[in-house]
Amino acid sequence: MDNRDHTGSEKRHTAMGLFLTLLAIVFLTDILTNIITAIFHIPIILESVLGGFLVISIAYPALYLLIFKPLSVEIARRKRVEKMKDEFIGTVSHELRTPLSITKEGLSLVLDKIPGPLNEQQARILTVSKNNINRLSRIINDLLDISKIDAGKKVVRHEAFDIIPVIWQTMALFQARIRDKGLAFRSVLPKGAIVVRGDVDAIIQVLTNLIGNALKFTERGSIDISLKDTPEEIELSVHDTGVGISKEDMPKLFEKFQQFGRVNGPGEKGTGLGLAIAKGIITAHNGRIWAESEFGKGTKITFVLPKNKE
Amino acid sequence: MAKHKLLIVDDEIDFLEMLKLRLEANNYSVVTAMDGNEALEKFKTEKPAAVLLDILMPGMDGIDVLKKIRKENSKVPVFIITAFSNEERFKMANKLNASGFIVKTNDLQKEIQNITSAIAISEGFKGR
Repeated sequence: MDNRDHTGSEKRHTAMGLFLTLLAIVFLTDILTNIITAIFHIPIILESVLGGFLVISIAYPALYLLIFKPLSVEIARRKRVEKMKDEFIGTVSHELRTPLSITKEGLSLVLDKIPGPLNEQQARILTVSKNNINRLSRIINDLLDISKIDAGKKVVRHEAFDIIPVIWQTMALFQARIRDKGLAFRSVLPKGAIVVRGDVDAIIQVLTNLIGNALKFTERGSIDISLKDTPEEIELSVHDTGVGISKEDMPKLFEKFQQFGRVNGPGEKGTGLGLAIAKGIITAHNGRIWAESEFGKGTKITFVLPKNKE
Repeated sequence: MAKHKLLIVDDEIDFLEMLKLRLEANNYSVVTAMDGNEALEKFKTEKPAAVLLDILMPGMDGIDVLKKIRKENSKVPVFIITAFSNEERFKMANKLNASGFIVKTNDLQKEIQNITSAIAISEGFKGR
């Protein structure tokens, strides 16, 4: 948001500067033409030739120095900053992931009893440690996704794909965990292929985040996936009968680092970035995402994705 | 069944140690190298059944090592060790003639499951 405001006001400043510079040049060359004409008694017929000459010899260097040069310097600076940011993200992801993966594997080796037997308490302590290492991995991955979204580099592909098998595949990943919790997991999907255009990995991530949230915050009842198909767009909803979201929390729902209805105790903890990422991805597809919820009764998150036919 | 010998190459000594323990627990014998030159030397002397190769290494990187390995032997399975998943992986897969990937951040026990079958396929080729 801030960035866009900055760019907007900078653009206004640049436009104003250009206008004033042009005005000054016209004014200046006109005065100069009149002075020179008066001093050297230049015939009227040559006055416009002189004016033209002055405009070219003053206006071009002035425009270059005042407008084009600073502008190109600014563009080069922004490109440099952008490149540094990309390199930073790449370095951070590699430098953080390597020590994390080593620590995680060390814990896994001991938990898999490869160096020798392990008592129950030791196993429990190491399991908690490993779960939190996994949590740290998720936070890093989510933060990287947020920076990619901010840089406009998360949604990179715009390929046509059938969304129905994508929904089935994502649901299959959750089937066992939802069943273990004793919840019903249903879907109402139209028959036949529904082709949309976009980044399939990013859309899978949105679905994973939405179903994952529903699972996390629902203790009894059901999770339902439904899809409405129209010629222009698809509307997909994930509806749960979980804890719901209070009216006060609703406006902050898609903001970064917001966690509501947080479950204390063991289990997979969130990063507070899932819905912000989902919104970023859907927005990058020119879609919309929103939530409806009744506190204590459940939540329904819906997104609309334009089909972008070509 | 005789143990298959694997060559693992990574400049990160701690990761090398963890992966070695994991592979040995899965009945492989393991030789290690910490840079490209050492990797190529051990590839010639140890004749491993498969190579697990880190891409990002100072000096000669994994891509150069893989190219040189392919000059010596076009069939030996080479798995790329990477800290990335998803899009970066697919990009690399297209570029390199690799058998698969070992994603550092994933569960390594699952990541190493394909090594044996890749070795079996390459040995099948050898027999013909």
